Amino acid sequence: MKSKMAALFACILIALAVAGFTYAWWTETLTISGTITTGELDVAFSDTYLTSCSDYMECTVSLEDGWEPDLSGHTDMSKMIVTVDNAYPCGWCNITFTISNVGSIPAKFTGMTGDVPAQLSVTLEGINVGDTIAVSGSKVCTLKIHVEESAAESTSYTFTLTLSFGQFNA
Amino acid sequence: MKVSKGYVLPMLLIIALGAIGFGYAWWTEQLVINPGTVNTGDLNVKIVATGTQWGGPGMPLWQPLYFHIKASNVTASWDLSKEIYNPPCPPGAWAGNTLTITIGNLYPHGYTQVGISFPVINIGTIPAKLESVVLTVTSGSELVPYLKYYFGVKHYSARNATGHRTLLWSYFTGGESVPFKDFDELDDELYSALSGRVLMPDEVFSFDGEEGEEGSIGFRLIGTTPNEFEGKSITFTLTFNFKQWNA
Repeated sequence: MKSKMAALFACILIALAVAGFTYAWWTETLTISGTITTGELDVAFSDTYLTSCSDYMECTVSLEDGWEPDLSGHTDMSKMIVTVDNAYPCGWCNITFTISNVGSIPAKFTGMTGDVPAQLSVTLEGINVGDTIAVSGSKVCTLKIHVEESAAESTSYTFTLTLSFGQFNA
Repeated sequence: MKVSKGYVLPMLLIIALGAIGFGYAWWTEQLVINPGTVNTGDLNVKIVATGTQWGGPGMPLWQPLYFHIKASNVTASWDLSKEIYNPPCPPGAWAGNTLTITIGNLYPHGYTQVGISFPVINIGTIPAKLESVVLTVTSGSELVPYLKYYFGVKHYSARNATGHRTLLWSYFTGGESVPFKDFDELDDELYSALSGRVLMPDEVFSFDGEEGEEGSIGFRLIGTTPNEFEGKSITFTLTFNFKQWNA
């Protein structure tokens, strides 16, 4: 009987101790509410450009908004359409244009790829692989189109160029 | 030692995944030039057959293709290949590369001469200049020493806003008042006269002669042509090769 009483007492003590233990700890909470907003890597063609051609050749340039979503709400002219008319062998057209960094992260030029027919020679001057365009900065570039001797009369040749950029620290 | 070996594979996997993750982490941006289109022009110089149309006082808008015959009983005809119908000139005209002329019953006499007038027009979109003139005698070369030539050529501008042309330049070897020249030198003098000129689109090299002037390309036999050459024929080809102006 004594042992039963002792066991019951012990259980009560334990229960109380547990309850007392819980209530005994004070609490304090620190909260770090963090917001990370990512930047925007965004380059675009400026809407000013100059063209010069061999005599009797004509060049027209137009810009279009690119296909990428525009995060900043500004006009993102990332597509250039070039048309050269009345071209002939050894004739040339130069298009001087500006690439502007309209994003919030410096952009680094990583290279140019394209599909150019053998009857044309197309080069880009003014920017080299590895060059960085600072935020709000720009680079003046010249696209040089040269008609090779193998070009045929009354023929249309089409080329495509892609200028690739990466974040500056890549 | 066994434990460290066991960590090698997981570590490699982690490194590989990290590398993949690293690669995807870089943002990229592209600008495109698409499409870039280069349309080549048309180098196209032709002889045009048309009737007379005057572009102003003394200025032929379209010089007709016709013969000047200063002799009796001499016959002459021409035929122009038809590469292009309805070129940019009056309806009914056509343009070609090959002009064939036939002169018959020519005889030696100081004033007996036959010339043909024709326009050479740049109907293309690219300026042209003469690359060469080649005279090839294909038969009857024995007549060459007795055959003489003259020519006159004028360079007319393209049509202006009112449709008129202006005379830019002219060259004459001389007509009746100047001794005719040896036939086998015809190509050299044609080239010498025209090689420095650029024929712009719609401009004309006109082998013609206005009233009182000698023009065209003309021929005659010298008075000392022996009797043995009666009834003989000479066949020749005069080829004008043009090239683009900047070649």
